[in-house]
Amino acid sequence: MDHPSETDTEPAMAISEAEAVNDTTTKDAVDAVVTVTPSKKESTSSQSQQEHVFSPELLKLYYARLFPYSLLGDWLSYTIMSDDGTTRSKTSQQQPFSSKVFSRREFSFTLEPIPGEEIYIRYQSFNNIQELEKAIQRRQPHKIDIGAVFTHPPKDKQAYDPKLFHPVQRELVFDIDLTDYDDIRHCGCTGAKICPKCWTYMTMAVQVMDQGLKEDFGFDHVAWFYSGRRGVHAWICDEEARMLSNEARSAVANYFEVSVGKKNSESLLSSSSSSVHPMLERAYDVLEPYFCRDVLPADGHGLLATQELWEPLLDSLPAAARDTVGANLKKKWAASVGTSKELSPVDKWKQLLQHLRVKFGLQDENQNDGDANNHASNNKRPKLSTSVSETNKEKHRIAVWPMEVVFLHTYPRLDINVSKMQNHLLKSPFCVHPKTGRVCVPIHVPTVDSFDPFAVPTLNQLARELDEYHAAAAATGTGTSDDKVEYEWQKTSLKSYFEGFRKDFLRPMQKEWRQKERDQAEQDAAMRGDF
Amino acid sequence: MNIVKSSRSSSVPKSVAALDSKNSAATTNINLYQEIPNIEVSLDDFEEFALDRLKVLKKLEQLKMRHVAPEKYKKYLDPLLQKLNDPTKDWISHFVLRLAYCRSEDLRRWFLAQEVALLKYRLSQSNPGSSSNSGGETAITKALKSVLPNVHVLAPEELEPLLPKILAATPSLNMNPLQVGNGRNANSNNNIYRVPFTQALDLVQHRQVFVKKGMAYIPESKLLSLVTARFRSNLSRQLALLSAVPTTPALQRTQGFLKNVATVHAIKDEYLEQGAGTDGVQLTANNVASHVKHMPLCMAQLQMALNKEKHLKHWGRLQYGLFLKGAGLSLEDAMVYFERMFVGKDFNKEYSYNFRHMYGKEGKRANYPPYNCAKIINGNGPNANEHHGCPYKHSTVQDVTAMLNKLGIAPSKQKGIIAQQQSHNYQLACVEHFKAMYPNPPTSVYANDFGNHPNAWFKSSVKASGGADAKMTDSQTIDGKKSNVASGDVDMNDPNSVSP
Repeated sequence: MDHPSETDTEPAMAISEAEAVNDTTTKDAVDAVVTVTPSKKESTSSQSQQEHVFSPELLKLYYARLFPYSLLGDWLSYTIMSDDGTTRSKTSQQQPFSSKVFSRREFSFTLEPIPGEEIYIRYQSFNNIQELEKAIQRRQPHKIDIGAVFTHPPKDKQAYDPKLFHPVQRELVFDIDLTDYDDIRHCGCTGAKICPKCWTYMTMAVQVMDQGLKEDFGFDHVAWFYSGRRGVHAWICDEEARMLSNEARSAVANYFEVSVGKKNSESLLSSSSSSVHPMLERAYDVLEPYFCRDVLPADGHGLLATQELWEPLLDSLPAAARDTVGANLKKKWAASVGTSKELSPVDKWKQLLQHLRVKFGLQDENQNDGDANNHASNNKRPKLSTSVSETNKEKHRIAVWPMEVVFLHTYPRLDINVSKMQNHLLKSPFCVHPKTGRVCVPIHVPTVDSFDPFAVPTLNQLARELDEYHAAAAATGTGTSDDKVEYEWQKTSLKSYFEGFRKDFLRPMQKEWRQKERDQAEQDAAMRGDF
Repeated sequence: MNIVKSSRSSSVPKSVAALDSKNSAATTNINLYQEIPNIEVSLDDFEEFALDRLKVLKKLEQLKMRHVAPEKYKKYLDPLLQKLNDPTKDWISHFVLRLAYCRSEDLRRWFLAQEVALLKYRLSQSNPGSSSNSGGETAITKALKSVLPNVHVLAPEELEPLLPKILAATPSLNMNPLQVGNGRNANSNNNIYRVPFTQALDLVQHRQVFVKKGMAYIPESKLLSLVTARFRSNLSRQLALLSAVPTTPALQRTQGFLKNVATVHAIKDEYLEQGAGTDGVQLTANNVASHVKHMPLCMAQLQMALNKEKHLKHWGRLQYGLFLKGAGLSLEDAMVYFERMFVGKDFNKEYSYNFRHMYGKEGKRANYPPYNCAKIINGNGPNANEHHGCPYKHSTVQDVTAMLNKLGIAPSKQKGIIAQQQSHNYQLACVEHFKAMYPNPPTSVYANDFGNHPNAWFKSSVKASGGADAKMTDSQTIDGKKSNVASGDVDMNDPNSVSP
């Protein structure tokens, strides 16, 4: 999460009366909720860096020319505007089209009219995307959050009895943030700092979650976004997802949450059985290769690359294994350091699993081992042959230990509080992160492996690209190639991100809406025909 | 609810036919109270039925508290349940208690817990040998169909490809593959039911069932939990709705009774009043840490985490901040204290709003009460780097032991605490902790319900440790702070005063 204050992790805490209203906020802020907090001066180094990537002028340019209003509007309307979404005024010549869902959606803005003075305005709503666009251009919010769709337009909140004003729908959202990985990031990054090595955690998280949401819950319309700094957001937009109760949201979030290494560490696997939930099995299949590639080796997080990391790992074995296999390997590996006999981190892992298997008579094998593999099982973990009795409880703990290690070091760490409530704000996609200047761009899941957060365009870069585009156009004498370029973002490196979003997420969703509309129309016609 | 009350009601119910049909339905099924009774009842019956049911519910609570094994419930419960044998009486008494117990969250929670326990007991009784039920549907499946009319039973060909995954997801499934291959149909106990996952949230969120494409696959053995979960969520929703319904003149005559029935359990929010504080102790920014010895483990744990990490996450701040508020720490002192403790954070920017909100100075200006044990135990458990919650529930025995050691509880005295923790009696574990500290407390301590509220625990501890000890520590600071506190009252209304 990128929220600096956590105030919005619980809506009740962020709801405040209009007080201390800065006079730069005008009439439509009267009903809105405003909070002023003096913001902290950044340390000088990041301050100077910040000036390179982010400034009110650059932001203004972005909002004026590049922000993909039409994409956001088409998406959040959840209805078909018109065939191509560009000429929607056609559908309603008399008055601007007002999408019912859109107009009841809460937006909130974080403004910074005076550097260091943040103003947070909740319960904004707009009849249509054009109104939102105008407000954004006028207010120049440093951050835009999207909340729930309410029973009534949130801007009229004060006019309704609080009992009649409540959220009615909301995308199911997930927030995954690298700060929650601090204890396993051995690349040197902590907090908001990220590097390509720790980004692999996000890659893994996106894959596991995307697959789980689609296969287990049958959600088709899952949009992933880079949060602009150190994490990713998922927006699940299927109608079933948007209508989920808070309890159902909690259940889905808890279903995906794995608490290895957290306080209550027994919950990954039920202690009375040797079987593992299919969801975890599938996640393991996705994660295990990453574990071997990105976590174990020295050029990853080096879990088995240095003595100071592998010793605590071996110490975390269940007692019976720690005192035998663990102690043994500790000695062996320590002696081999620097010699030609030293195994690679991945081979160390395999050796460890092999020793556990032999010593404790565990069935099956790690497929990646290439060791004797007589079992036609696709189960990669060592596994107990029988159900667990009193005596082999310890054995069972040993059998699941490797899976727990893999999960501890790779499984997505969700900020599930964000997912649990309809009425939770989450930063709008397509925003710009004020600290990095990077746009919150969509992430294409099939190619998430190659998604590079450091390649995401910054405001600065976008301004340059626009200039270059126009310079090039002028040089070739073609003038403005307006016939090809519908939006200015198509002139920049945002093009591939945004068009990908339209093609892979928006279009399929619109197709479904259209189908539904047609079905409805047919049904209506049939009804009328009957009468 | 449309109960017609009349102390002189005619002996003939309004609609005999309706009652008869209900009656027969109720005898063959376990009533899940989906339908509201529309029957005339005399005021005497109204009260008597409710009291008879209340006895059952209280016994259930007692059995659970005493950790009586469910198999032994029969002996204790059946004599009391006799009185509810008449389905109509059972039906009405449930709805009367709904009226009595919808009034506050604590009452609703209590009622809900006991009603669910009662349903579980009845289902378990009606279906003893499970597989012995030849041909006919079991009470559970009947109950299930009444709450979930669209449940789908998998045909063998649908089941076959999914079976390995269903078995993996539900290891307790009493189904050996051989039996599945052959005589499954002979044994209806091995059916797999398919429901939308939203109907089986409890099973889904604990990953106890296989979930595919939004559908949960539920073995017969888990149906009980599904039925009770549905029952619980329906009842919970209806109680909440009922609480919002204004009293009608028709109900007026029952108000006194309904109130009295439920007051026995009412937990007063006596710690809500900020001024209440704790007798004999004036908590200030300077002496909070020295009062750790008077805190139950859930709060001591937060103080220890605060010392160590110089920060508390959202839920930790809320749990601990409200506790300190209830113990008498003023907003000003809370701000001074937490700003001092949150080393390296921009307290004013990031947290001052949060604390003012807790004290009802921001937002909807609600005076939030400190959390009681029920809220802490049933609330969100802590994630990594979080320290809120009830340690007896959310932490391991090792962690609890380590904390008790830190608090100076001798290992020999920890046994009782740990024993309670291991048998999941979280609050009793906490009471044991208290006893370990004060083997012979003054009896007045027990007047305080210290096993149900951290603030009560704190109060009792201060009291039990003797005024002398408390006064000693406080006298050092109380004089210096007095002026602060006095001026603090004035400043409190001005949020700006707290930001320098």
